[in-house]
Amino acid sequence: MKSTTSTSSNRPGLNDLSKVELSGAVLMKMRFAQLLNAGSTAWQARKVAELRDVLAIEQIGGPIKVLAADLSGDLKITVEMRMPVPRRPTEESGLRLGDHAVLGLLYTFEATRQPQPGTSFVYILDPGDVWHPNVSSGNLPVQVLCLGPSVPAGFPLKHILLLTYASLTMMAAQFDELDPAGVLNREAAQWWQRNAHLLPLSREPFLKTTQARKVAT
Amino acid sequence: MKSFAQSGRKRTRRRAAANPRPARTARFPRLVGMCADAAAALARLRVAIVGCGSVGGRVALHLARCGVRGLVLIDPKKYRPVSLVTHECYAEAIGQNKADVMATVCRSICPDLEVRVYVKPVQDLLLGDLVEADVVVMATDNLPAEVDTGQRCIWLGKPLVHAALHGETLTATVRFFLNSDGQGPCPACLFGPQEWRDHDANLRRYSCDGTAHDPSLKGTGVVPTRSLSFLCAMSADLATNQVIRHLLGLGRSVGDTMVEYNGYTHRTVVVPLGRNSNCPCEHVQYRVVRSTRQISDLTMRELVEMAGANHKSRDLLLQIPNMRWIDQMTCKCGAVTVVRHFQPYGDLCTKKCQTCKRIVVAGPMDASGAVATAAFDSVLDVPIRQLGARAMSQATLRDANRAWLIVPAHREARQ
Repeated sequence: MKSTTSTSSNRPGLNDLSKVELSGAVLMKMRFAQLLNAGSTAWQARKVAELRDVLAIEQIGGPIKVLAADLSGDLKITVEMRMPVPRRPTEESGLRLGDHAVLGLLYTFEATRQPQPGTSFVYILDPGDVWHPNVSSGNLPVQVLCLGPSVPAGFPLKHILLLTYASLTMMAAQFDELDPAGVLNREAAQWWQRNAHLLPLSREPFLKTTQARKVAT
Repeated sequence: MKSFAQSGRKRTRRRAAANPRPARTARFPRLVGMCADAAAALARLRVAIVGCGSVGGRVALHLARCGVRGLVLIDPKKYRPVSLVTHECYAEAIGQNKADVMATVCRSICPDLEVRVYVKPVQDLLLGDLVEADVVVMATDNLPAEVDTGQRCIWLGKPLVHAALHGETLTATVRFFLNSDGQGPCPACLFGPQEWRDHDANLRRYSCDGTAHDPSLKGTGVVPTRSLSFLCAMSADLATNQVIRHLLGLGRSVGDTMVEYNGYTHRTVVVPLGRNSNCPCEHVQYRVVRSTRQISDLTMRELVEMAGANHKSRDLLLQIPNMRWIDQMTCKCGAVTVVRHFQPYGDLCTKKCQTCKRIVVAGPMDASGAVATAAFDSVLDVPIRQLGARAMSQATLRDANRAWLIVPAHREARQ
């Protein structure tokens, strides 16, 4: 078993994000986004808390970089997530792997009080050809990632990011097209069933904490 | 062409002429402590009933006999053969919608009763659909529906009567949530860990095609309430008693109390209900603003001023049900196309990019269900109808500490 490095052992996990102190560029992003925050006091505070968690993940060296954040209505965050991303295979090269995806995260006030469809949170803005059973294909302007048949009310955005990472790296995906929940890309589901030996695309944990690295190794 | 509502009113008038409203005063008791005319007071009141089953259906019948002005009946379910054991229904009703059947029976008791029927889960109603009710009665065994109804009643400041029972112990329970200022208790305040587990098990599920299904409607994942017909009737009777006492101001206030009757001991217990500070519901009350004009004919400035809010406030958020605001779209070439338009959810919004001439389709990240009114600066004096929201029946405004619900002044009762 590999030993853990000292830097990774000090890294906080998802439950400790509130203890992370934002600084530098990350803090500037937070302050800039807060300039245009609207809604009830509780909703404004919720948006700030969710954005703060996402920025804290960036601050502690998580695999994301926040590109834009909008708190003026619904909470909208654009992030770049670094991970192997499966792209539509070609006849010449087979499955292609991207090294990042640009994701649009949408969090509405309704999501704080009602369970929402799994397709209403994460949109893949780039690349446009993600090859995944739980990612839509077709002529929609962006690809949609499905996180399951229902996401409970008030589900935190940091956990949505974790699910997204696990899903896009194929650590946790739903391949069974006969499942009542269904798949969004039947062709991709069948392809991945035939090529199950490629799974998962990565074993890197979302956050490289001591515990996570032990599990991964 | 005659509208459905018009033909419904004509039918009601014909029915009323053939079978006039019975004289309530003939049987109405002279209630102790009631100085004014109780029958006349009841004839002005509207009651919404969430769940028209073994308890809610009986409450509807009681209230129709009391001569209330109107009922709003909400229930997505149909009668099944097993309903005959506990419900106030006969074999002919099996397979029919509970709310529809109860509406027909209530109208036959009181022909000029205004009845509005919703054969769908309460979660699918607009907030404004309950705005005319003077009190809401909830008699459902679906916990997500209970939480949702409780939340709506807090927002609207509507008294909520929750009728429930426990068959195994022959116990009928009625909780009365006053909701006078949004700071009192609600059904979710009283939930324990087991209720939240059951609540989560009954949450709505979605398929990949976007369709939703409720486990309670499919009969899966939900343990049906086991009870006896008389206990359901007892719960309905207690609930109606609390409704009438509140509406007519009889005796001590029943607000924020729970009354419980036990059939084994014949004991009745009344206890006060308290707010749970960890309740996940939003304990904030909306101010209801009634517009004499069609809301879609108003400009954004008029809408905000009518509510008494400040359109320059950075906190102010507007929400129109089933509509999303698209401010601008970004083409793949990087050019930004200004849209500033409302679009119904599910409709595609397309524009031609002025730079590369490609068709740009608005994505979910271009749209927002809740919009800061600051976004309307350049279209403040344009009627909302011209901004794409043609058929809107309500709008909500929120700022940091206040909330408004804007509805039309007169909503026609659908017969």
